[in-house]
Amino acid sequence: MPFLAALFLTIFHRAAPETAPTPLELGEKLLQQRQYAKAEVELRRAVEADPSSARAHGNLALALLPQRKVKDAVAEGRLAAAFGPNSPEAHFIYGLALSADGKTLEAARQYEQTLALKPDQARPLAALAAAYAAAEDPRTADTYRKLIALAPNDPRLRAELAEFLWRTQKTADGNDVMTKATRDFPSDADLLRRFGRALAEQERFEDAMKALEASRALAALDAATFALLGQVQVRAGQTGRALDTLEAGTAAFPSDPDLAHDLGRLLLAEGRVEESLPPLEKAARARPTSAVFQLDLGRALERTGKLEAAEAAYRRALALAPSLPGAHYSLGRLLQREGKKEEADQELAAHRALYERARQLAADAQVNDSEISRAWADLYAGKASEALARFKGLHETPESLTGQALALQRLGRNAEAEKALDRAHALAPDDARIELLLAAARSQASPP
Amino acid sequence: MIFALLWAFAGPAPADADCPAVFADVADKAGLRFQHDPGATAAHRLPEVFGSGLAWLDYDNDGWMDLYVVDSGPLPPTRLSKARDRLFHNNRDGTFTDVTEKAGLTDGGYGMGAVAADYDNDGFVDLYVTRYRGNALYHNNGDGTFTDVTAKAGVPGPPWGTAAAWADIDGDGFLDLFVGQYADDARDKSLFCGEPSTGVREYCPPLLYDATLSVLYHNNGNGTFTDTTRAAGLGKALGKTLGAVFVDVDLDGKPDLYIVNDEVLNYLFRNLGGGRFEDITVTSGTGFGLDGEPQGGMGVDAGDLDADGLPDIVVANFESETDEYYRNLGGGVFEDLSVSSGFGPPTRPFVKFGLNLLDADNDGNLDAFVANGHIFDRPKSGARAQRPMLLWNDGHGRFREKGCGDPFRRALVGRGSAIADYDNDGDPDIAVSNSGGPLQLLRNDGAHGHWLGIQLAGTKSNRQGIGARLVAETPGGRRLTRFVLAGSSYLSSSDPRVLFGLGAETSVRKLTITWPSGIVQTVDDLPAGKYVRIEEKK
Repeated sequence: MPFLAALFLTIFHRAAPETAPTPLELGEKLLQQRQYAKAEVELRRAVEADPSSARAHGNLALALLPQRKVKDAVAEGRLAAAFGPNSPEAHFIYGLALSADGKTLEAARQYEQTLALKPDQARPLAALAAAYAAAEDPRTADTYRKLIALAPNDPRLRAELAEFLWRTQKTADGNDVMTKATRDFPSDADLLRRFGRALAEQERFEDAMKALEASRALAALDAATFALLGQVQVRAGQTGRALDTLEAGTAAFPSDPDLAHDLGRLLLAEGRVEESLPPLEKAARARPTSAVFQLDLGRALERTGKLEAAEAAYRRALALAPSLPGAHYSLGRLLQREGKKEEADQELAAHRALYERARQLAADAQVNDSEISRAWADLYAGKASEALARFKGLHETPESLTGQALALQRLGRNAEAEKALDRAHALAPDDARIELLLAAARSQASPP
Repeated sequence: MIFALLWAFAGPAPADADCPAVFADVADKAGLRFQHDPGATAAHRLPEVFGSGLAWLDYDNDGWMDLYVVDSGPLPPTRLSKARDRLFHNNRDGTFTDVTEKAGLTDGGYGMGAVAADYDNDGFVDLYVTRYRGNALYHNNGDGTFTDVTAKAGVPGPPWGTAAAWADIDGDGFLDLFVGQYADDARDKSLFCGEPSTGVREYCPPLLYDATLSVLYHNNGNGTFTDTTRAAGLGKALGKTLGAVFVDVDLDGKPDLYIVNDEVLNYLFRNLGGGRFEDITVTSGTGFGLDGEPQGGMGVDAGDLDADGLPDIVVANFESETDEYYRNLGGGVFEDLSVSSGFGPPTRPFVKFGLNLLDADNDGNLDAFVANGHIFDRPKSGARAQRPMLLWNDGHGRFREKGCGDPFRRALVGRGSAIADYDNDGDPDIAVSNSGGPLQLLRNDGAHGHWLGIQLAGTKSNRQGIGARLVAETPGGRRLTRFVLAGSSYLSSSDPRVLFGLGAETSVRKLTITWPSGIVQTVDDLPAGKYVRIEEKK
């Protein structure tokens, strides 16, 4: 955590005294020098000397955090905040310790206090925005916007806001933020890369392709982004460009098996069978445990007439992943071609059974998603009773229980809502959003 | 100088310079004024995405192909809806007249497709129209009018009728009927696809709907039909059917059935005789794409693409998938040449629906027409309106994509497509139904090879010779094989007459017809350049 040293300077560092240094001063100096273990020793002495010193407890927390002594840091942060209730720095340090401990909601409260005591500070605001974002708190976007106003030249903040908006299904809003950001920072390759990735996830392949190609024009791509660009170019119907990209990617990252596989697979799909073999062989050699690589290698071998080698590749794929439907299919078809009817029929029957099962599972999952969406749509449309009935008709999951709770709240049945959120929290104890809703529900349910 | 300029203007557009044939949309000029109404609403009910098909038929036996176009309209249908299917009579001068009312074809309903065939062998072509609720069989009365005989004939079809096809499956001389069904949408009301927070809906993916059975009707020969789906062995073929074609894949004289499904495997049923079928999907290799995954199947056609005498099968699929070309190896086994032949890769970015095999330049090789258009209002990638495609067969196993003519540069939301030589000039023309868009008639212009047209007249076989196989041998030694189908492409049916493109050759030395009855008949020395009517020998 290098930022802590910088933080230290801005928070508790004071001018060096002319007399012999106290343990507190020595500890702060060591903290500044990033000698965290030694700083911890001195700062513990300082705490012993003055147990009610917010400054000593706060700096000790800062010394503990980089050493991953998170629980101790939380304890010291709590004491700092207790002994320095009007110290924005103490609340901020306590918030940082809580964030490190995964207590997002509690951390956010400390950041709120920090900002109440000392408004418009970029770092606490950034921490607050990140904490809100983790909890999917509705105040996240406004907090980020305030932060962006404070630090208008930091493109990463725009990206973080956009990523929050995308994650919370405000896709168009996220895209607007990034469109403006890429206009304001036209030479920021990372912004374009992040925007391109998001557009690809939204299946806007042509736009994603433009963003990623623009990013590539500004800076060298990493291997994963080369692969992504190749994929979006294919999906945008630009197969020739995708081949160029993947060839450049494999040249830049010759030991990356995924890029080699993508290139080979695309060449195979385009009917350039002979050319597809070298990259597919290379990928399979580099990652011999990948059943999919073996399967695609088998397909290329089969289409180049190397039937024996193809059969061996299919069998390797099945040894690695016995439930890989495509491997059963390809092997079955090959055996059929070789006149081995009985074994071919077995493989093809296995493929069909696996395919049917996979299809059913996928269908069940999609139906469930759609039924949940229907319930949310009713809730958003103000039809709380209908939404409640729909949520209750679904399997009990954190999401359906959360939906039930929100519907119950709309109907004024707060005690039942709290119970539903309790059950949701029990099923998903790490879900910050549920934690937030539960805290809010409890505060509503408790007597004034 | 002036003349030189005139020639320049009269010639093909630069983009069409190396086109063997060029197509022009003459629908408006021909009086084919029809705008499909998908009845799309904010509710985004799934049937709205499917568009409609069309059927070529010579309903008045004047030797000129008329056109029936299916409309959809509001869902559920209302009496006030202006959406109506249309029957256009061919005036034999390149124009058509709307005779819908006169023909009595004024029923409403949310239309899907249409297939024409003479099911009662009375010499007049009838129509089966598929709908989302309310399929209909229209009997041709022989006087320019039709009567709805659905109930009397006992062919209500499945609730959500889609692709239909006719063939004489048991060799009794009467055409039997297959009616595909898309899916069971009973769950529709409990689903929401789109953005719940705004309530803005999108169309739900097909995976959300349960696959269902289609229906096979046996023609009893007395104007009625019997549902033989289960007895025939189709009782387990759950699908989401959008395409169907009867074709004799193993040349045993009995029409087999290929069913194309959306995101469910396709089925190939081998006809065992006696009205019974055997599912040979798995062993035939026609159920899945190259990688063993089911595809989003739409339209289908069958024809001999490689001049080996066997019918190959082609399938139109969803975007990111290639169109499939299953080459028939004989014995009910196929190999997938989609990629290696060049047939599939150019189609990958498009959402393909209508798919027809036609010899567009009369060189003797079957080319392919593909109608494209997305299903979503605002596709995340690409456009809703997409240009159609022509895939030219070089006769050596390779296809080249090249749109020839303005219609191939115009993006619409293509759906059903059907082939006919509507102007009887010896080359195949194309009618295209566009979802929410105008009907197109793509007239085939340009210099072509020679041709020979054959119209069959069955006596022991069904009256139109549907299911017949024709082999033309030319003086130069070529053997061209064609199959007579009723029902193909996407929710459509084409001209049942057979057109042989002969290239530079000017005659057919020997024509061999294998009738559905099993009778094999030969005709020698047929000169090119005309249609010949051949009656089944008694």
